[in-house]
Amino acid sequence: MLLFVLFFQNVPVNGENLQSSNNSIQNTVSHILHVKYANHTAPDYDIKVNADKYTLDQTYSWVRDQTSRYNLIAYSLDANQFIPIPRSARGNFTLDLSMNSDHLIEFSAVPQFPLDVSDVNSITFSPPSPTSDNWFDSGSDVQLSVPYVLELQQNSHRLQIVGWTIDGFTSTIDRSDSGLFKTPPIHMSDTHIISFQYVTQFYLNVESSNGQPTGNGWYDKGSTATIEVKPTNDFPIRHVFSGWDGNGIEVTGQYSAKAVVDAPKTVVAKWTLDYSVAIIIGGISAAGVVAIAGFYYKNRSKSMRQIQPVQQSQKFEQEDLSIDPRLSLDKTDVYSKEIMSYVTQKTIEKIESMHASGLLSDERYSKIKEEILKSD
Amino acid sequence: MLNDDLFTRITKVRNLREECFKYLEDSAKEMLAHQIIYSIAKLSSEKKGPVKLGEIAQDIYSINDKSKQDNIRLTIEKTLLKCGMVEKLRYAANDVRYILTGYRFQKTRKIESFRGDTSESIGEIFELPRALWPIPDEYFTLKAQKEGYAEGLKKLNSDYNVGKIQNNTLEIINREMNERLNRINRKINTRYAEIEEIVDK
Repeated sequence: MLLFVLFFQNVPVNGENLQSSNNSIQNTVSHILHVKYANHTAPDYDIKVNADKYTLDQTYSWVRDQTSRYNLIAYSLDANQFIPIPRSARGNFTLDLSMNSDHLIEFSAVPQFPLDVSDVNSITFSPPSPTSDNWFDSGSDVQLSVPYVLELQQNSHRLQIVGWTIDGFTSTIDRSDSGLFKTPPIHMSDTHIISFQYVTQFYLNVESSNGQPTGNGWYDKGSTATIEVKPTNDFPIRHVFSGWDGNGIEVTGQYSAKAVVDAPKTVVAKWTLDYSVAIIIGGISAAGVVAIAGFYYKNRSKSMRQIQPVQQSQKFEQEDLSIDPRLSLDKTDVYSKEIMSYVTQKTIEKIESMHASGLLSDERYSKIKEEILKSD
Repeated sequence: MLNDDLFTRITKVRNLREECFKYLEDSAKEMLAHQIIYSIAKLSSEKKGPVKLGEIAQDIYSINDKSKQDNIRLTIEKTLLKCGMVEKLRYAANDVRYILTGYRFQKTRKIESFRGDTSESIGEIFELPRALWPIPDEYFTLKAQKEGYAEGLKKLNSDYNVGKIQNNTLEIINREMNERLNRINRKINTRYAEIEEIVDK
């Protein structure tokens, strides 16, 4: 019997799942360590210790049932006052005990329930979890805070919160462009499943080199925005509105349109310059110059009076043509054709290099190349 | 399927447990799960959206019959759905389609720590072949045109410097080409900025 005791020391008499360590001087007197759990959160057990000291390990958390767990909050030694333990979700709490006599250790634990939330990164719990995870003590009330807007790409693409669901019940949320949405307090008497609903929004940019464009802003994906540009009263060179550049645009008025916001989008108001008034004024001015010059030279040499006014008007018309903005790369000008052919050649070379680097499959490469050549 | 959803699938790196990551590797070429992944990638790249069982069966087996479809469906449900590599979308009562959840994956290993379960990354990010990414043709066309106009502007200035063209011609064509290049850049920046950042790496 003594041999049995010497070889098998520190064996729990009624213990389960408990690792213990014992590195002190052995003695021949053994003592019992009674381990108890307040409110029967785990089975009580006893350990027979044949040493001066003993280190007791206790896991911080253990399973209660399918949806909850117990978490350690305090311990009491020999029926004295409970001493709080720093809270933790995982790992073991250790207690070094002097085993000169029998001892009673009582652990106190609380049930905890999880808040099951998708996408925890943008969510704040208030108060925070006592175990620094998503588990909360039974009976506590928790609020979740989440930004109204998650900007995925600056001035391009964002998500705006529109509703939230708790355990299958959905509520709508009044929309806002900034700040935090806070749920009402959620009582932790059970596990809860929470999710948030968002709408995708895209930024519509309305640009114009002339006048005052309106309609810039954030719009729900797929919605229709009204865009407009208010022209300025130019004189003598007039800016003439010639339409909108962009996809999904439906003209609704002389300067207005509807744009479907199916992606981050920029729409640009197009303008051409109307020199007709300027030319007329210029012509009148030139005629005026001619008239004045003619009057001035009336009393001078006849040949000079005939030559100079004609040169001045010819020079003015040439300048007009040289700054004509309607002259574009699509005209049959020889150099324009040459430069555009060069642009197409370089465009095709780039497509070929994308194909060679594995970015494009054979089919897509052929299709894109054909389309580029067709549009040339 | 809208571009923004497809772009998110391309740009976001998905973490995959080791036991799921194996379906991507070359060593799994004979496995049906591997073939399904690559088939869905190829078909949805062409279609720019999710694909049906029949289309996957036709691509893998060159036959589209019920037994082949069942084979594929069960493999997807037992492996790829559970691993989170494929998403099943219900369009109507009898219209179910599949799409990859991502095209870039990071192998991870689960580890226990004092503060809770975490995972650690293993190795580099694995990418499915870029030719299989569902990037719209428009992106490639715009990138190629951007290069074309940039080179064209260089030639324009070079021709002016050697006296081939007059200042007037330079101004007109320079303005027009810059306007076109600016429009192209704006389109790329508003629609494809995230894609460009990854593809150009």
